[in-house]
Amino acid sequence: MYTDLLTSTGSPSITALTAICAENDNTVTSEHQTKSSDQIDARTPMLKNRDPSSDTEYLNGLLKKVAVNQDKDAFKELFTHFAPRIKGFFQGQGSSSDKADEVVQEAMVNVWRKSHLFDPTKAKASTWIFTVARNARIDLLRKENRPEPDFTDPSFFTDSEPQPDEIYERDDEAQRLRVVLAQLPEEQSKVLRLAFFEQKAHAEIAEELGLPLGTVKSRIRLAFKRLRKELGENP
Amino acid sequence: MNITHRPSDELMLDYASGALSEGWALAVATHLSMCGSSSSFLRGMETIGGILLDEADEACISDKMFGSVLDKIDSDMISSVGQKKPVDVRTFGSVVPKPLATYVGNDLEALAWKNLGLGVRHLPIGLSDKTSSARLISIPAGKPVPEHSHSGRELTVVLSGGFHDVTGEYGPGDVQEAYGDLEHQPHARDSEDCIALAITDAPLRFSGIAARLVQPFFKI
Repeated sequence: MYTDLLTSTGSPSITALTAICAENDNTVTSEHQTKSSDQIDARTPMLKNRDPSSDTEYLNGLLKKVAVNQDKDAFKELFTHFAPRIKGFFQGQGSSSDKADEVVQEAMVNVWRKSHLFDPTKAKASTWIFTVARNARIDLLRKENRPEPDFTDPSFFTDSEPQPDEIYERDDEAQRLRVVLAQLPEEQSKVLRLAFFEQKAHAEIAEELGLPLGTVKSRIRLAFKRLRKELGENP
Repeated sequence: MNITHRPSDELMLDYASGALSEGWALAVATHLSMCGSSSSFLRGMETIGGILLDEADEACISDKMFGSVLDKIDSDMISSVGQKKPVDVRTFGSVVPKPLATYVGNDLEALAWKNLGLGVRHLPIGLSDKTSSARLISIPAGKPVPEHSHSGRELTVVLSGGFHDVTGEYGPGDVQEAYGDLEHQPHARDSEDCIALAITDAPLRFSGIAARLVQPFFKI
């Protein structure tokens, strides 16, 4: 049964993916448009301007379809959108293209396997997929466990602060963060990018940039002082 | 209860990006299990990761990859018949948050604690990454750990009870980040034993001769 699905969906996806490498977004848009006319409005802006809120909802919806219906068409769209970005994200100086491909593949398999854990009230699809890809990279390249808290069991919260489940309700938080990120001084944003793209600890970043540890720490703290305001936290 | 000592921004960033190795990540995850405020901060950092992923350059993906991903998924579905349920780590009324419970279980009193003398006990925790060491430490109420300094970094997360030293007062969920320059002698609170998770990347340096003599035997 799954082999049938693979054969029937296999060739259009290959066409679409080959086209991504050649022409990027345009081809993907036209593929979407041939599918269902009522969703064109939601899909077109997704590929023109990055991340209007309709785009977030659309990607969240795809992930829900994968979780609830094991919908392989929705999964293919997620793959088409995210696989090239995950590879671009992690293809830092350190990792070869082969290694990056391995991480992308493992990450997308885990997106399918763990889709039931995705909760759109807590995170955007891209946030959740970032965490899945990050963990796939730790697992594959460092062969280490990644200890993680279990937010479904809040019995241990000993402080009176709101619990994370209650926090993520403002859909515009990401928009505001995006604006602040773009406004950060170059030296601060460079440190954040090295951290996320190359999975470098702040001590390694200091070494790579030839800076004293204290300088890197203070850049991180200054960046998060600004970003925290958008997270609704007190600095 | 009130958490006042949270991990530094740079430590949280290292955890959010995935750069932090296992031992330190275990300490941060244990703290996160007890601290709603740090947890929502982590979510914010992960949102930033998601934004950077959204904005990442699109790299070329080979034609074959989607097919291989589907193959893997399909073989999952076949092998998932009769698969074991994931281990249900129950925590009852214990003081062990889940990330730690997966390493040591839930019942602290059932652990094979080793005596370090003067009522201080410890339990080494096995990590797959060997660049740091993890252990639980139990200090009797009102008692000190021998005075020591660090040649590297030490992260301590209080699980129950509490301690104080020259840097302040630490209770359940609080994190202490100590570096090579700190020489301290933590004292457990008078009211109850202090149980804490401690991660180090280099042996501690004890100031007293007695502690130095036993140190090699306990590999602390």
